[in-house]
Amino acid sequence: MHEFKDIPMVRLDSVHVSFNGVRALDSISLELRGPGIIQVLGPNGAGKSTLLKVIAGLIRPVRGSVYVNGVDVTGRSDVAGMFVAYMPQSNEPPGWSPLTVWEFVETSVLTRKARWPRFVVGGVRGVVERCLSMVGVPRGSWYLRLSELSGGMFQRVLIASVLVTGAPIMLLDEPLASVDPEGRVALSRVLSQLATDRLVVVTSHDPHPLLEHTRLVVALNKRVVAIGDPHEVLSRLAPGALYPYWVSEHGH
Amino acid sequence: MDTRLYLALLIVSLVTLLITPKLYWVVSYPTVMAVIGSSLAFGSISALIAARRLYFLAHVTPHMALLAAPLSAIVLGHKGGDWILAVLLVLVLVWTSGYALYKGVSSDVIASIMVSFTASATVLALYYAQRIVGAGRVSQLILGDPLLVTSFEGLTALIVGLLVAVFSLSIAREVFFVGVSRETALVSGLKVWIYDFTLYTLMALSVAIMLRITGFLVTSVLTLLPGAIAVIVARGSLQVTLASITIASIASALGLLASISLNMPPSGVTGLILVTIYALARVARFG
Repeated sequence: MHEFKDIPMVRLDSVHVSFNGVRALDSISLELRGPGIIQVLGPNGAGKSTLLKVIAGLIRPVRGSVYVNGVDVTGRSDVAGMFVAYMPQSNEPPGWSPLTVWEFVETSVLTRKARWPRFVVGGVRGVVERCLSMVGVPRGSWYLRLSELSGGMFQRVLIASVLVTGAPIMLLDEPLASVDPEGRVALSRVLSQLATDRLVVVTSHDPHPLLEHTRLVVALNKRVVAIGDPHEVLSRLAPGALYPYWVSEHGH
Repeated sequence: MDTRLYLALLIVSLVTLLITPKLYWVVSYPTVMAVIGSSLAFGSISALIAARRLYFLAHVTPHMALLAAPLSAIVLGHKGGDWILAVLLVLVLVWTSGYALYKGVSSDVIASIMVSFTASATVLALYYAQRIVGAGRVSQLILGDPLLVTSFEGLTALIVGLLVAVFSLSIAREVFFVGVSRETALVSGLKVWIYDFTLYTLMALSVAIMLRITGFLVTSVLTLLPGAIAVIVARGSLQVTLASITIASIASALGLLASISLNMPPSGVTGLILVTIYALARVARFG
């Protein structure tokens, strides 16, 4: 779909984040280079979502800096937004929102491509259509309100709203969480296609649906526990390093 | 329903309002201008309030306006221009609430503090204001009566209503988008604080200027219900905003006509009509 001149890249230098004195991320230093899918794994509270928000400039770290494509975006979502598209973690559609699927995805691109007052600009319609079809949102759902969607369908719409921006770096917070198994396979293929010329950073509890398309795994538990080739990292991780409760309870 | 149907209904309700002075001698054109202005302002702002789930603001702003009006009268006496001071006071209070929300204070806490402060101070302000502007004017602030507005007030309400409606329609898409995910909106480069600031300002202007027309008691209803109904019956930012304005206009037109026929305060009848439409819309949609 797009070709990017520069290699999409994210760099975090000694990033430390805490909320009300509680540590969320501790001395994170990372360099994530595209193209490709990078999976961030970890248990609840490991700081996966926080890491994505720090990269997107939504959270300003207590210490450290964040660079995207060489530009300092620390705590600056408006600057980060020039390179990054972000999909928040969401299992349920907003129950009250009368916004239609089409308008939501269309606005995702208009906020980047047009100035206020934002009327539809040329070429947007085709891009919106292509992205909605790509993630498997049926044509009959395009003019439904967001509140009328199932959790899985809303997740597809969120992914479409990220795709439509054409950003070289995509931050997706648990994008497959509410999607059915068949949908996971289809969406995994879509993400792997996109990752041929983009950096796609995905958080997950379960690495397997995207494993064959993943270039790098970051195991996180407030600190970087391990980083590297997916199979190598997963086989090297000591049992229970990421999910001690799960391991002790179920013996896996 | 189709957007064209809402437009048609809006035109019918506005035409009904415009011919009312020909049907009833008690209704003057300033009254019609005031009613149309308040419908446009409250209808459009109500849709944005519903989209952002800022219902607490619809509760507290009338309290702020009710404090500002007598306070301005006390400060300026009979010199005139008290409504300008009232608008400025409401703007400061609304912006303060918005800033507190931006800083992470919960809407419940803001509403509790603001309502406690304004309600207490209003009792004192009304007590002294009665001696300056008279009990009739104070009663108008609380109950509201479009039949008593002056030509200047009617024209001001119409201009403000038109401006609020045009601005609301032009920012509806972004406000509804922010309502779904503030974080996504921020990363997509939207200056969310500008839209919030505009929304708070439009809210303050609408309530402060329309208070004398609709009265304190019904202002909350008018800022809450048209949008809440529109969210149930319409889809998409433009259609919901248009539907909200249409619903406010229909309720105002019916309220005015019914109040004249039944010799009752128009704002009370308008409020009850809105509550009825809301109940019907909920039953029709959710059973």
